[in-house]
Amino acid sequence: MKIRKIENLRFGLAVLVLIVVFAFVLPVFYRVSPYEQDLSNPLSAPSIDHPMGTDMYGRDLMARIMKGTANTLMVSFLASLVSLIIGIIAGVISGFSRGIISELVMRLADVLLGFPKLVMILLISGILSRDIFVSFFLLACLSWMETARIIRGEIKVIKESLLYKSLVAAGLSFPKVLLGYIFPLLRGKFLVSFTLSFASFILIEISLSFLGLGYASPEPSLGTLLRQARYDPAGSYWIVIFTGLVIIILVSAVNFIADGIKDSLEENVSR
Amino acid sequence: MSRDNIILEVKHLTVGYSQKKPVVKDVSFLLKKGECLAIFGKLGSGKTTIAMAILGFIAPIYGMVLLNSINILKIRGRKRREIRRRIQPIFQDPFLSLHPMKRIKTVLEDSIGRESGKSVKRYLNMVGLDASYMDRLPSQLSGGELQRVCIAKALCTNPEVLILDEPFTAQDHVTKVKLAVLLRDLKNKYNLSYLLITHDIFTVSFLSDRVLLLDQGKITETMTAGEFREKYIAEL
Amino acid sequence: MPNYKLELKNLTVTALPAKKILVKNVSLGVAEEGVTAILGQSGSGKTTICLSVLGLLPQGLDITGEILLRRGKSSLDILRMKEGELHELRGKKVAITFQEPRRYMNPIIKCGEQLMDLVDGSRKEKLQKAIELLETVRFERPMVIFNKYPFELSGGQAQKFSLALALSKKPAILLADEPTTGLDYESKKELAMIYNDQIEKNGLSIFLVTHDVYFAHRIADFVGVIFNGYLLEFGSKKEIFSDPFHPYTKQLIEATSLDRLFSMGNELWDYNFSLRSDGCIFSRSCKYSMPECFKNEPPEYRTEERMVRCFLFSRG
Repeated sequence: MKIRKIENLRFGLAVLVLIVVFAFVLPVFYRVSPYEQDLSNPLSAPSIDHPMGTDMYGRDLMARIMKGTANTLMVSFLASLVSLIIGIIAGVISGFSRGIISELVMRLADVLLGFPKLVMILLISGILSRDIFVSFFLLACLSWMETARIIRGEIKVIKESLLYKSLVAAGLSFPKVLLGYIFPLLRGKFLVSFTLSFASFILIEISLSFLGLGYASPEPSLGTLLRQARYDPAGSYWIVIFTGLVIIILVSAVNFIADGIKDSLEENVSR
Repeated sequence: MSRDNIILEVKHLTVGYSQKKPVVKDVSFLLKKGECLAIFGKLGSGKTTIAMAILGFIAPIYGMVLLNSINILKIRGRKRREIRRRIQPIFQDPFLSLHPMKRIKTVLEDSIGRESGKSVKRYLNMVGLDASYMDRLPSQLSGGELQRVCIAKALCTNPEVLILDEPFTAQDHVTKVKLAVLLRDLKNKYNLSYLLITHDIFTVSFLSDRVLLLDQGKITETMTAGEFREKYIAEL
Repeated sequence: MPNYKLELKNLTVTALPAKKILVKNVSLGVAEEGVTAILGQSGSGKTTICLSVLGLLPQGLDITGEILLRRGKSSLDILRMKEGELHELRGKKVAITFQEPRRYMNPIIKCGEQLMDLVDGSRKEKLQKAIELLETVRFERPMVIFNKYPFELSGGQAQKFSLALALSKKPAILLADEPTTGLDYESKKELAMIYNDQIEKNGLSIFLVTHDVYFAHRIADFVGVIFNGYLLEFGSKKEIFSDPFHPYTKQLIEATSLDRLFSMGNELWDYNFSLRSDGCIFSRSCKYSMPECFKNEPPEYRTEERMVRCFLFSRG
């Protein structure tokens, strides 16, 4: 059992690395524009010129998929980072303060957790702003609660520990204790939180863009490409297949990683 | 007992988690400079709570703690951190007192702080450890060695008082004796004052000068170490 | 009750990947109706010995030697037993109490219920037996303990309770692993009395593993001294404490005498890593060491009553 979990993690990581290379490094060597239209060559099957074929505007599909993957990854990464940072700040504030402030933060979290996420997503993207970065920033602002709760719990425990008491007794300043001693202990939790957010945001991006609420044409993303694939005539199999393949691989990889991290941390707890 | 000689004074200390059931009831005592005062009591008698109150981790319901005639419980902010460095704790479990990811060197450097000039090596030597321990992690050391590191860490802040809260209970007899001898020598050499809190008869007999008996939060008796030894030697 | 007797012969336990020797060639007998104590520091291998008697060691260890359970003329080697036979042994003929008992108890079942699970009979009989067991371990108000959960017990209470659990099936041999950890002097006194009760009333044979020299002095009949996996000395309590042979034992006993410590200062031994030794395990810290001590491991030198592993006694 233990071996399987580690293998899952490594496998997922390896695949993710490949995808990142595909999205960010390969374009350096494969210098084809994802935006350049060539109406003389629409919907052509895979060939030497266009290894994954072209879409209905004659744009090279491989270039679009590479760029699309990059866009999806980037916005998900940034949103996860923002969510993590807010979660850490909220968790630290709630964990270290006593009484009203501590409770207030948690009540706020409870209220926000109660909001139906799907509705919020649709509201934000549909009404508030079409800009993908703004929407995702707002989304991140609504996703910090789990992290905050976990961090708060950990901090409350640490505050009672002999280690913490020794540090305080030594007269170390609060920033030093927090950044130098407490954060290293929470590394694992940060990582899990981030990875789970990351997996979640990737799916959100794909879904939103698929519905037309995320990235906007002509900017490609895994979601928009999938959306586009719906409207392409039957027979242009390559569009669906390649897009779908990348999505499946990416989502599976991230899930493997998330599972692996969760399981290996759980193991540490039960020991 | 001249006033100049008293380094720590605890007055009417009452500590508890609720007003009605205090765990420490009206405890008062004096600690002289260079003395080791033991607070001896069974488990659950409130000893550790006294230590936590003096160290400032629990706010007492009532009472004062005077270090060199300054009430340290009332001080806040930066000054409080400075004063904190003058009273250092040594806890029971050294594994839990040290950060598992930090090397010994880093731990001591952080404690020394800005008062450089005294190197990490010097403090390690004081507790009988050589320079090879600097780059090690806590997981690589034995319990006795770790407790020595904790003592070194406490010394880094140039404290006047050490609060020893069951410092040897987790160790076997051999290690206990070695550590007790070390602490005794350090006390004599650097004129430190100890508040020893424990239920272990051997430690009290060997290290202390005066003993307070604590039962259910109250001090029931005061005696010299000699009197204590006579009374409890059979219980060993 | 049949008189079992436990005997260890040349017990050697090695941790395989690192080839680290945990216990080397330990031979000793556990007396019937009395306490045989093994004294040693943390990490000296004493807990390993204790666990090996019940086959409780983790995987990945190489165990050689014999652990014999004698009954009259016949004997069984515990190390050669299969899991089914071991199961019959554990708790029923040989019981064990651990160092921090609360860790090994079910936290969501009341103490009394846990005891009742171990005894036979109708519910009423079980209740009766459970209360009796709690009284046997000197709980003044057994019903109070009956209704508590393990985490609500103090250290001393937990140790007494784990003893009640261990005694529930009326074992012939009790293995006690560091029972005095975390106990104050009154609890230790009480524990000693309970052990003596059991020895006198039920003929219990206790194998005590500890680093608490004082407690061993209080209740042991026989004492063995272990250091880094080697049994250095063995004999009756009286002789070991009044006239220790092995240099290590000597220092250990001296360290218990406050008067000597006050005058002694800092002469306690320390391991001298700069000295190379392929011989005696204690040679690097021994102030009586001779050249031979660094080359060969001393064998056991036996008299009727004593055993020492030290070249100083080679004349016998």
